Amino acid sequence: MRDKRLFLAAAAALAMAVAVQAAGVKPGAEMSVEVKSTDMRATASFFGTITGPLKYGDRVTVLESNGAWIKVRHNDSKREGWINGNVLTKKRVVLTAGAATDTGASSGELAIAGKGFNKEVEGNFKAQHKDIDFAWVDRMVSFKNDSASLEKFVKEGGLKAAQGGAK
Amino acid sequence: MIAATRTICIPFMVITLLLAGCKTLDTITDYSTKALVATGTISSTQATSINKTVTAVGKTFDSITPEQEYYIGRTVAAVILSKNKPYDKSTATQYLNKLGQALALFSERPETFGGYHFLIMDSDEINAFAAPGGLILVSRGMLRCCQSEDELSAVLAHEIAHVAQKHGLRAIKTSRITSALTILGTEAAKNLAGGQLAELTKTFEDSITDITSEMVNNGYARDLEESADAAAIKTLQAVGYDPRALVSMLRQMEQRLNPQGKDFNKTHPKPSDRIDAIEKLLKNADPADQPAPARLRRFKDAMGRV
Repeated sequence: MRDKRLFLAAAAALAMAVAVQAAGVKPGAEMSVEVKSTDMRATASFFGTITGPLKYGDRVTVLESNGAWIKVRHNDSKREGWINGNVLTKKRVVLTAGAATDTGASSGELAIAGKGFNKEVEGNFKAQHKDIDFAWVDRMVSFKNDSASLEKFVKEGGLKAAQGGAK
Repeated sequence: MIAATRTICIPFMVITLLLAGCKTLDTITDYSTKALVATGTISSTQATSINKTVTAVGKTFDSITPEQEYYIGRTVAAVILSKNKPYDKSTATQYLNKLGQALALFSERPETFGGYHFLIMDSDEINAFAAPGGLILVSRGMLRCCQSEDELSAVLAHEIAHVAQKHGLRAIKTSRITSALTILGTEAAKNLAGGQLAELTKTFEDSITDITSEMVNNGYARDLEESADAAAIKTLQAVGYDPRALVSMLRQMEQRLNPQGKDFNKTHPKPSDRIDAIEKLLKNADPADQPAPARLRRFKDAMGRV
């Protein structure tokens, strides 16, 4: 019975490791954060102690990887910690369109933050569809629980994820 | 995570290519940029850049960044909420968000650009919508199919899987993506000129319609629903919930569904078909532990009046 669980966990970890390897995540590689914000942690777990914050566009250097988790150094603050690989991209996330021309990167390697379907386009859509109310959407995105309260919720529910929490 | 989605989207790309009459995305883009150069709309340098971008970026929904996915999802959710009043009860909503956000941490894609957020729709119909990027709407009718936190987790884990696997984004027609990339031009483009913003907004609108038509009217293809069920099982097992709760919830749903209904029946495969597929996956699964009393209590406290 335990073997089955281990097998499933190993298969999942292997699948993620393959995905991460395929993305070319090697120590020394530079990657960018492509989510609004996240936290680096002391251990490869969402319940691990936070070692530093990261935000959209931050550049990090890969130190090591373990399944879906990657240990990085934040280039600016020099802080280190583990993050889930799903927040990283090989593309450079450029925050101002003007800066893009200096990098020498091809268009395929760049993701210009705020380009394409963005706040401006949403604003234009709202102007043309005054009957569609975004108030509840704005409220929804404010429903947030930090990892400490999620860990408490999992623990109180007697759930096994409370032990370790790593994948 | 580009690589992870690549393995899933290859069969989808094959279907897209077949539907496009054996033309590749490159060929379609090449044709449209040639036309634009001929009419003087863009320069040949811009055409080369666009062709390069499409080739380099390649896949359709894969070329949508998490940030764009977030904005698409916001509008999809707003459109759905314009037709489905929210159920404004904070206890139930807070509980749903704690549970859903905890589950998301153990899903295939724990973090989207703006994160996962949950809201209840005040409707007796059995319905749930997972907007791209993680805005998940669940009706009271759906919640009433759940008799326990484990069964509710099954519902939320399934919706989270739709987001994680970008099923909503896949509904966007290829032509919208090509259109958007063409409008955006080269990477050096600065703020959009007035006409370009209008065009991009139109493409945005059309993309939203592609998604809501699929989600609300047609439903996802059966293989995507089965994929979401399989992913939900994995998430439940990772957290420690009973994966068989998905089966018991579907049985409840089956009993409560209105055969002529506009709701679940129209947009999902029959619960019995889904149950058959899930039972196969669970054939050798371990029996689950008895749920902790705290878990039973908090479910009743939060969901009792829903």
